[in-house]
Amino acid sequence: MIGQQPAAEPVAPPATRPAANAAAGTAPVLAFESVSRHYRGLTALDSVSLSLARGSTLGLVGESGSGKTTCVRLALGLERPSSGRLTFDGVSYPRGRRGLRAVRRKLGFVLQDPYDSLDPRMRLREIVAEPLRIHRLAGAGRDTGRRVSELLTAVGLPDAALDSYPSRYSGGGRQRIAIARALICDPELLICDEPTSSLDVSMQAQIVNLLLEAKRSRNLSMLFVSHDLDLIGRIADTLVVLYRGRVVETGPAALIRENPRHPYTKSLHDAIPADHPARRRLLAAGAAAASTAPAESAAPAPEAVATANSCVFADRCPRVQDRCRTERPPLVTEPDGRSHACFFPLTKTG
Amino acid sequence: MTASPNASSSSAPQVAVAEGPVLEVDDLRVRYGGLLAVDGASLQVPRGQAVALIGETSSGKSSLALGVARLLTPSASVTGRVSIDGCDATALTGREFRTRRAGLLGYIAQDAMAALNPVQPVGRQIGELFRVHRGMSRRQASEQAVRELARVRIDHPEIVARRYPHQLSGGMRQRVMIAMAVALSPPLLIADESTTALDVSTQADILALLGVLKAETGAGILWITHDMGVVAEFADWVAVMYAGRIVEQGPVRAIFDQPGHPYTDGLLRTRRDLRTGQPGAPLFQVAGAPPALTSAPRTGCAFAPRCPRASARCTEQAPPLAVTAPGCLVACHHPVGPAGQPAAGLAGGDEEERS
Repeated sequence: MIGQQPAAEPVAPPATRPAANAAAGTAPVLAFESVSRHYRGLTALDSVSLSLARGSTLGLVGESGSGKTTCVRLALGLERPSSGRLTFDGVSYPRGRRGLRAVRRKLGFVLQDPYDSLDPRMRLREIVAEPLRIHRLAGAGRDTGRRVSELLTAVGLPDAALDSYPSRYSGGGRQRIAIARALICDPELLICDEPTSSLDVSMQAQIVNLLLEAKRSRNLSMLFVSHDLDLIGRIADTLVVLYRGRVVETGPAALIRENPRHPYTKSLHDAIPADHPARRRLLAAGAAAASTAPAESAAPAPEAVATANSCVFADRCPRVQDRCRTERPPLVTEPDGRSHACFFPLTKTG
Repeated sequence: MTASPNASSSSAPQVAVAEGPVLEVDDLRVRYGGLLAVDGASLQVPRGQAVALIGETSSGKSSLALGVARLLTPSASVTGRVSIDGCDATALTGREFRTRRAGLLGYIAQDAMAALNPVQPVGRQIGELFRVHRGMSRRQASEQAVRELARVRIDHPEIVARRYPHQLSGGMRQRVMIAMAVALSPPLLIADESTTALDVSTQADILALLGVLKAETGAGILWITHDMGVVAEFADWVAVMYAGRIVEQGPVRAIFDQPGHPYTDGLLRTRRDLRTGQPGAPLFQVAGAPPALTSAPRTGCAFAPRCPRASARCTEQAPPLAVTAPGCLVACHHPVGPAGQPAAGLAGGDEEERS
């Protein structure tokens, strides 16, 4: 998979990314190298490293507060890491606005809330074409119009929709508009932050299929953030499991999905509701726990707990031992290509 | 919902069944302006059991629940009969119903942040129920509130009682909502997408908690959701809503084993495919979108434009709810069956015919 540079690229900012073409063939599209992000004493991300291979889908999974959205904000260049380095096509994210804009041109993004992420006062044709305008890629008006209408067709909206406003559409329709907007600049990387979590089941499948199709036909790479292990295990090649800002497990999605090694991944796995009433597990398992031990406490917010010298999952872990509270488990890579940060990982049989 | 509770799935807990269903909804219609959101829905919630009401956005499931609880905006018009715990709720005036609501039903909304009062500590909000309905003093009520928080398995309830909603996590707020819903031990709980906004692990905890409370209190639960996983875990009965009508209902196992309506079948396949489908391959999807609300009842089946089994008859004639198996009702001219045969027609027995 050679890095596809759009042939007719109207504005090329060559000065800002001298090594891009040389590196594009082998370097990951997006990489985090020991990235940390602190917010006034809170550690949102703690030495996170990840790498998104060209043409593949990286799934980022974790519950709220795990740092998923911070990763997205960093990848979009909306904020900078407190320490560590981010690269795009093997080159560090530029510091200046212009340089950053050149990187952003290669990023398409679809955000979680389609009611917040589309300007209600803009017509669809303006919304979809806006990135072209911002990146000064808009050619002749007619040309832009044609591209916009092609994309709207590709995402399943009729031509007649061009002059309508987002308010006419429900969640699924709005995400289609967002996808068209994400694709208009021919991005290399599509960043999806929980794009279907606010949608109904049947819409979720349609929108995910649309994203998968866009990725396949345009040869994109994809960063897909979700809290749904089932969904993300189904569509990602590689998984990164985050917990309180740290990577606790990462590796090929199929392996992690079938056989989690880290107790946190296992707990995520076990919390997924059954697919048939005959295989209920939450009520049976949870009822016993709920009647004996309170599941939540009034303790300080998890992020505020100092865990520099311990495992972040120690206070929730069923397998916790003394060592977990006094030493931080490093990310250990196994022969099968996955890594986990646990002193006492689950065995292959679970 | 239609058969006697004893005929339900074996997983249903055995709770007193002598007094009939805790909720009976009969031919409920909800209109907003001219638009028909609920178009003649009937269902029952047996005592001590959970009925999942499934549907997509705009299917009318929330309108039905809000109609039952009389929490709709004043501009909505509601017709039909609602009976809660043997009390004909539709015969009560608005004022009468308001004074009795908390004793009849508990409502657990999706967004606890919006449902709770942001400028009052949660303990005081719970205590208010006891001051108003049980005539407790301020002090008694605040002690009672702490006990109610402990009942929903909140650690250090005396500390949490003094907290404001924004100081609590999403899971904790949902527990506070549940504490308020069950405070006066109403016979009916309505959970309106109560776990949809939560993380999977928090959702699992809340489901477990409601399972315990259901067993403890014997309340019937009407659970509004679009998540088949929650249904599989929690429900004893299932009712599927589409475009304002109930298109299928039955015991949860029967529905999962052999859905009759193509829409139910599609929802279940979508869910199953996430777990068992080939990684990287397209997901199974129900194509199309739910129809917009209309002012007049539809002539044909509302699902026909999206249905792989639709025929000319489906667009001309709305299929009535008909019995397909014991306890199962399906509104479809071409229901999915083991051999794909149409339903045999209405059966007798203790089934209640609906149309």
